[in-house]
Amino acid sequence: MNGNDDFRIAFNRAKLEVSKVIVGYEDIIEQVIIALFSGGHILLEGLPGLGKTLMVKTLADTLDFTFSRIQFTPDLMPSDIIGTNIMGQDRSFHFQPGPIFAQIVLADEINRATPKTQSALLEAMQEHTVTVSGTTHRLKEPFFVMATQNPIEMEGTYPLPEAQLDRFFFKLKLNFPGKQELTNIIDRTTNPIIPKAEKILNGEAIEVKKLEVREVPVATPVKDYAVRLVLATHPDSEYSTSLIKRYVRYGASPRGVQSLILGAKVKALVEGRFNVSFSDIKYVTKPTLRHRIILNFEGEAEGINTDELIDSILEEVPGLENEPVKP
Amino acid sequence: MRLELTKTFFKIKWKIRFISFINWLIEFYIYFSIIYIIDYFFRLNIGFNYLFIPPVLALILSILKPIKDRDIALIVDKDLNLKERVITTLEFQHSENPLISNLIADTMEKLKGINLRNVYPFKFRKRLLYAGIIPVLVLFSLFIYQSIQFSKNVSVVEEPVISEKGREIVSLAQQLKFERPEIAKRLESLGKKMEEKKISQKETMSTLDKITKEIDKEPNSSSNAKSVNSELKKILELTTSKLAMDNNSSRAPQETSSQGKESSESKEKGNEKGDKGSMPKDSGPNSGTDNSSGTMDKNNMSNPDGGENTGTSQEKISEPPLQGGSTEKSIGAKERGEGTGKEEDTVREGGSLPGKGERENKLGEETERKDVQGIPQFVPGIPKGEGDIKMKIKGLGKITPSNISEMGGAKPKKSFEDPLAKEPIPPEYRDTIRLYFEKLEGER
Repeated sequence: MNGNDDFRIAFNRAKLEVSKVIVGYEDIIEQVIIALFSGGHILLEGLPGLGKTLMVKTLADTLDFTFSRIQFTPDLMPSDIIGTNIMGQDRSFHFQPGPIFAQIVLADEINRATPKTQSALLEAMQEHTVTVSGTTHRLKEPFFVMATQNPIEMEGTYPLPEAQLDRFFFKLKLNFPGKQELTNIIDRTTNPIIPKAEKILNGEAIEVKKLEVREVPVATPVKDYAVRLVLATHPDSEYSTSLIKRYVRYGASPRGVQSLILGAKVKALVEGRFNVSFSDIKYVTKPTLRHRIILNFEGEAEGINTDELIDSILEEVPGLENEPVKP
Repeated sequence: MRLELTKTFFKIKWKIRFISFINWLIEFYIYFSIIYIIDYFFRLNIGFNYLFIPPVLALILSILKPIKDRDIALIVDKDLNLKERVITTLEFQHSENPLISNLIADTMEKLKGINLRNVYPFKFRKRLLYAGIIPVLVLFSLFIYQSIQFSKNVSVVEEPVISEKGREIVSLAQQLKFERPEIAKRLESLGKKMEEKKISQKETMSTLDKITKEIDKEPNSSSNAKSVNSELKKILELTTSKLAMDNNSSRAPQETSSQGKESSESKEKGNEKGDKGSMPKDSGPNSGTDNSSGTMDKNNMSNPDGGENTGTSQEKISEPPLQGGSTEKSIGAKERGEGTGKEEDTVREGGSLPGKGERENKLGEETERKDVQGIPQFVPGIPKGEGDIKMKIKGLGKITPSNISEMGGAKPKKSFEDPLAKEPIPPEYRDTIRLYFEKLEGER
């Protein structure tokens, strides 16, 4: 048994445990765990009742992590998230940590809080630290934010700013389940015995796996492909497609290409390989780039879906920029 | 493990290089086939030594343009769906990362399971397909070109040849400038006229014939004059054959359609006379092969007016003989109704030995073969019509027309044609035959 087998077992066990509770969404569960092993945060988007919150809670149950849930509301303040200094009985100020000081943070309906409150997460998500009154507090690793948002009922909501969106490793979209999945949901949730996930991984194990992921080698042509994909999201790039040129204002940031490579590395290990292939890159392209592409006015007006734009990129950008010359 | 990987990679690399060589080789052979197609159509007589050039070029190119290791890795990954294992291994093989050892082991495991034959399967480049179309196009174009040329008048095509011969005559005239200034002057004038196409072929032949005879008459001719004379005779022969061809192409169809009685009658008459006159009864062992008349037959076949040429028509007497020989001789022979067989080093179609016999039709029996003009071909020496072959041929021979009817199972038409056409004059008999004719000439 080599390192790869260890990784795959851990990954598949986590996936299995979540699948005990969550019906369907196998790809979503896999991508959530990929983000977890990559050390990235997730933004889950879906209609109410699709199991976004349940998925995050189940994952938290699978992992032996400290967990906290923050229900984002319009009156939520940054200090409610990160904590504040309060005066103790000894008449001195002590820092009272907020719910962000957990290893898995569920930011439920994140778009309902004001941008000011949303911004409270910026430092925590990127640097895994919180600064209050000039004092920086380090968050316990692994630190993992899972936010949810509802694509409808936009009244009284505050769309996440680009800087905030860019900090999410993946944006996953939950579609409405099919007939078979709905039947399974009925069976699992209306029976006397409700399945429950078991804790199978602790923080240390995750940290080890995260380091292992970073060891996976990526060949130059594969890196080059990831770079070209990200460049293609920019309308002024030589690789961009006609759709991108027409509907996109800004493309993905360098974080996008980092996420592409890290996500592809995890995918390669899950597939039983020790190297990243073009297919791994393609697999993680949509969840990685869909929230990093900012549409222009025309794109917004025409209701363009960023997934369509990514499809056009995947179609038009070749795996190898220069095909090998066959003898 | 790393050594094993290097070995495997080396093997794959050389296999791909070999395929590269084969691909180049095929491509070059395709291109060279165009040269040989052109050679086939235009008779350029290109030797087979050129076939050695493609392998050399292919070898040079496969050495000078080696495929890069990176490209090989990408090809192997793509062709065997190895998910970029080989390219990653190649890139990170010297890394100390423990995961790389696993990667190398994984790649080796994948490569072990495959047959090297499946690595980059023996595919041809698409370019070869396009290259292959070129010779086919050339072939078709040349076929079309050839058919167009045949449909045109042949004389038009050959006009450059006459002009060229005119230039040759002018250059030959230069050689005789000091020795035979008068002849040189006449030759030069003739050559220039030929070049400018201001002289008819008949006039050309007549003039050339006279000049050659004049040179022959001079007993103390130098070797230079002789060689010039032989060159002139060659040109004369060429012009003669061309004229015969032109006549054939222009007149034969009419004759075939109308079965021109008059011309065929006069032809037959003349031929019969010629046969009788030229074939003495005691003509010796070779006389039975009817070669002299064969020569005439050929002329007659190629020239429907051959009968006129052979002596019966006095008004045509000024025309030079179709098979060379002196003008006087040919006139005399025509007057006598003799054939104009010429003594040659090589035997021409139809033979050149004197023959003897009677035939009703000089053209012989019609065969199924047709020439390019669509004119039916006749078997010389075989009378027209059904029934027994009416030939009276004396003498012995290897295969003579007289014994062909006895050849069981053979197809008479074909059997007749070949021996008559290809019979050589044995060198040891040539002097004897020449002396025989000279003696005959003296007696007359």
